[in-house]
Amino acid sequence: MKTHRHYSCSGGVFVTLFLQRILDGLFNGSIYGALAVAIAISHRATGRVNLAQGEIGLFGGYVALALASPAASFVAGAALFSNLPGHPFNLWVSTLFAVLVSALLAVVLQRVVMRDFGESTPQRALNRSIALLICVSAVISSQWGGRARVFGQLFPSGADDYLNVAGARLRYTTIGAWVVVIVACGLVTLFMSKTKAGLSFRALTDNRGSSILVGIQPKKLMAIGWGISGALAALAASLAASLSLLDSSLMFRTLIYALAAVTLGGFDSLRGAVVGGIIVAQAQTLVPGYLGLPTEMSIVAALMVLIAVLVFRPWGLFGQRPVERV
Amino acid sequence: MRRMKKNFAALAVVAMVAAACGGGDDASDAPADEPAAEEEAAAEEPAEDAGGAASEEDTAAAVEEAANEDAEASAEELPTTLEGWQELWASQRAAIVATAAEEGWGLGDDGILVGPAGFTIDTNECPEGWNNDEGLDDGVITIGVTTATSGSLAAYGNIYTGLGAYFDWINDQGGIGGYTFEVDVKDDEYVATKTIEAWAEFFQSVKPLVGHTLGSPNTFSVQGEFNSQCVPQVMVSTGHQAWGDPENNPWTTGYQLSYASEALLWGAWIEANTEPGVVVAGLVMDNDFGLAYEQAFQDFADNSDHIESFEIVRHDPAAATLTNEVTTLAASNPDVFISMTAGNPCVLAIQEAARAGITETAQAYFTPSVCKSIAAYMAPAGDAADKWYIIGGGVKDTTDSKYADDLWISYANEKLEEFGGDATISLQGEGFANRGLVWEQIFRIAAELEGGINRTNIMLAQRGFAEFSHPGLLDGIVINMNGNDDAYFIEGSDISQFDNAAQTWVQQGGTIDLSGLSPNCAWVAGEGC
Repeated sequence: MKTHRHYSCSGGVFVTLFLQRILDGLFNGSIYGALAVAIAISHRATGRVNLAQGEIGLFGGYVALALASPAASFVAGAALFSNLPGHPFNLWVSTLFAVLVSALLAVVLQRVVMRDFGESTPQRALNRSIALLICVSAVISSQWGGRARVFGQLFPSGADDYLNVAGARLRYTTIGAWVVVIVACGLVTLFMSKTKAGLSFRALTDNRGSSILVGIQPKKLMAIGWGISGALAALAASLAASLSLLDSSLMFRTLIYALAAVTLGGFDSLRGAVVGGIIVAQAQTLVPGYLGLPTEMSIVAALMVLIAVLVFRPWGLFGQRPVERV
Repeated sequence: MRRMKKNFAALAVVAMVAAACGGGDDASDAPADEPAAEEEAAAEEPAEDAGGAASEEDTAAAVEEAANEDAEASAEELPTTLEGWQELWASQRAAIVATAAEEGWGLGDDGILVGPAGFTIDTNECPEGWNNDEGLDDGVITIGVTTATSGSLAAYGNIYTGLGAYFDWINDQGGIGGYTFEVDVKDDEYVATKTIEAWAEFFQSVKPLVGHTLGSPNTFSVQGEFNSQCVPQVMVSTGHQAWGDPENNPWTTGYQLSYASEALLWGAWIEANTEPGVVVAGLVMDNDFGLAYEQAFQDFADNSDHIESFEIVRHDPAAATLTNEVTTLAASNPDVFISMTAGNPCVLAIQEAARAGITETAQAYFTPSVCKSIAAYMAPAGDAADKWYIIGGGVKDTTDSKYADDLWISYANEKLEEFGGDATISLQGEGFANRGLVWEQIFRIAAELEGGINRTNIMLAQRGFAEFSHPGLLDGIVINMNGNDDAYFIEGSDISQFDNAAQTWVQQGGTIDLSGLSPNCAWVAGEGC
C-alpha cells in the first residue's frame, strides 16, 4: 500500500493536471481581479487604499441573497423585500440590484464618514479604512449571522457544465466570471475615456493639484470613484459566493489576495490589477500543488511572488514609475 | 549568462515534473509492483486494536452481518406511545439508580468517587476550594457551552439553539430535581485559542456546574483544564477517539460514534464492496478532527491488501474553496473518494467532487457522519449530493422526509417550534430530539442518585449509563457506557446512501452494532491511542 500526500500523478496525467490547475486558478483570478480593480479605482480617486472595499461588496452580496430568497427563508431582509412585486427575484436581477446598492452604500460612506479620506495621512487613512471594514463587517454579522448561506448559481455549474480542454475541464463558471469581469472593466474604461466625469476623474488622479486649479471638483469625483469600486466589489462578492457559499468572512479572505494582486499590478493600473489577480491565483494554485506545501501555505506562495516583483519593480508590473522633480 | 538561465529554467522544469510525478511524501519508495519489506511484514502481522474503535475483524463481521439484514429487521419491541416511552425511560433510569445503590457507587467520605467497572475519581486531587455543588446556588443550573456560531462551522451552533429550546421545555415542566436550566453559549468560531479564552471566563466568573465543547481541536484545548478543575465536560460534540479515556481524563465524555470507528467502517465497506486494488482518495481537514480520520484510515489501509494506495490532500479549515485540493485528488483517478471534513467544506467537497468528475468514475464516495444534516449540508449541495454514502452514526435526521410521521421526531419537532426553535434546521432538531433527551436522562439519573444533582453524580450518571432506548436514533443503535470498561456512548451506525430527489438517507442493510467493542484510548498527540 502506497500513501501519497498532497499530490500524485503519472507522466500522462501531468499535462492534464497542469492544465486543470491553470484553469482552476483562472476562476479565482477573476474574483481577485475584480476586487483588485475596485481597490485600484478607489485608490485612484483618493490616493489611499480602502480596505473596507470587500465588505462593502459583501453587503451587496447579502442584499442580492435577500432579494432572491423567499420571505420565509429566514434570510434577513427577505421579508422586507417581499413587499416588492415579483419577489423573490431572479439571481441575476438580484445581483444587478445589489451592485447598485453597494455603489450607493460606498458613495454614502464616502460622503458621510470618509469625506476627507483623501486628505488624511496614509497612516490615518489606513486606520480609518480598517475601522470602516470592522463596522461594515459587524453590521453584516448582526443582520445575517455567521452561518454560511447558499447563494445560488449565476452560471451553469453542474457536473457536465464544462468544455474539455485536452482532458482538463474549463468550467462554464470560469468562462462566465471572466465575461462579467471583462464587461465590467470595459464599461469602467469606457466611462473613464468617453465621459466628462470620467475624463475629469483621470485628470484628478494624474495630477490632483493642477486639476483642482482648472475647476475639477475632487469631492464629487471621489464619491464617483468609491461608487464604481463598491459596484465592482459587489460583483466580486456575488461571483465568489456563487461558486462556494456566502458567509461573513468570504471577502476578508479574498481581500488579502486582491491586495496582493493590486500591489503586484500597480495601484494606478486597472489592467495591472486584473493581471495581478491572475498571477496571484496561479501562484496560489500551482506552488502548493507542485511543491507539496500544505494548502494553508497558498497565501505565502502568492505573497512570495508579490515580494519578488516588488524587489525589482516597487511600483508594480503595470504601475507608473514615480518621477521626482528636482 | 543566458545559457545559465536556460539551464536553470530547464532544471527547474525537470525538478517540477519529477516532484509532481514521483516526489512528495510517499510512505514507500518501492516500485508499485514490488512491495517494500516493511510493507510485507506489516501485512503479515495481525493489526493491534488501536483504541477508540472495534478491531478490524469485528468491524468487518458486523458490516457483513448488517449487509445481510433488512433495515427494519433489527427493530425490537419498542413503545408506540409517548407515555410508553416515558415509562420505559423511567424504568431504565430506576435500574441504573438501583444498581448504583446495590454496588455502593458514589462519592465516599474519603473523597473518592467510585463507579462501575473500576471507575474512580479522587476528588482530593481537585483544586483547593473545589465544590461538588458549585453552580447550584440559585436554583438555576447553567450549562456552559462553547461552539462555533460564526465562521465556516457556524451551522453546528444550531445544535445549541435546539438544546436551549429543549431545556426551556424542561423548565416549562418544572425542571429536574428542583432546578431549572440555562444553556449559556459562547462563540469560539471553531478557533481553539478562543475556546480557551471563553472557558477562562466561564471558570472564573460564570462557574457553571457542567460544560460542553464542540470540535476536536477546541475540546483538546480545554480538556486538561476541565480535568484539573474537576468540572464535568459532558458529551462533547466531537467523535475523536481520545474522549474514551476514563482513567486519565475521567471528567470528559464523548457522545457520538468515534471517528476511528467510522474510518474502520469505511474500510470494511470498501473491502466488502469493491474489487481488490482500489485507489482511495481522502480530502482531509487539516486539524485534529481531520487527522483523526486520516490516521485511523491510514492504519486500516496499511494493513489491507485490498487497498492499493491512499491519496491524501489536506485542506485549510478556513478555505473558501476546495477546487485546487479536489483537482489534485481527481488526478489520482480514485475508485473511492472520502471527504474527511466538516462544516461548510462538507458542501464544497460534494460539489467539487462532481465538478472534477470524481463522481462519474469512482465506485463510491463518502461524506463523513458530521455532514449528515440534510438541511445544512446535503440539500445545499444540490444534484451533486445524489448517491453519496455515509457511515451515519445511527442518528435520525429530523428533517428527513421519511421521519415526518415518526412518533418521537414529529413530537420533538412540534415542541422545538413551540419553544422558539426552527424544525426545518436539522441541527436544531439534532440538539433537541437527539442530544437534549440524553442530557435530560443524565440530569434525571443524577437527581435520583444519593446526594442529588452535583458534579460527581453527573459523572456517575454517564459512566453508569447502562441502558437507554433512544427514539432519536435508528433501531438497533445501543447507547450505553460502563465505567472503565466501555467509555463510548454510541458504537453503532447505519450505512446510508443519499437520495437527492427524495431528500432522504436510504439505509443500506441493517444497523451495525459494535457496542462495547471499542477499547479505551489514552491519546498521545502524534502517536495516537
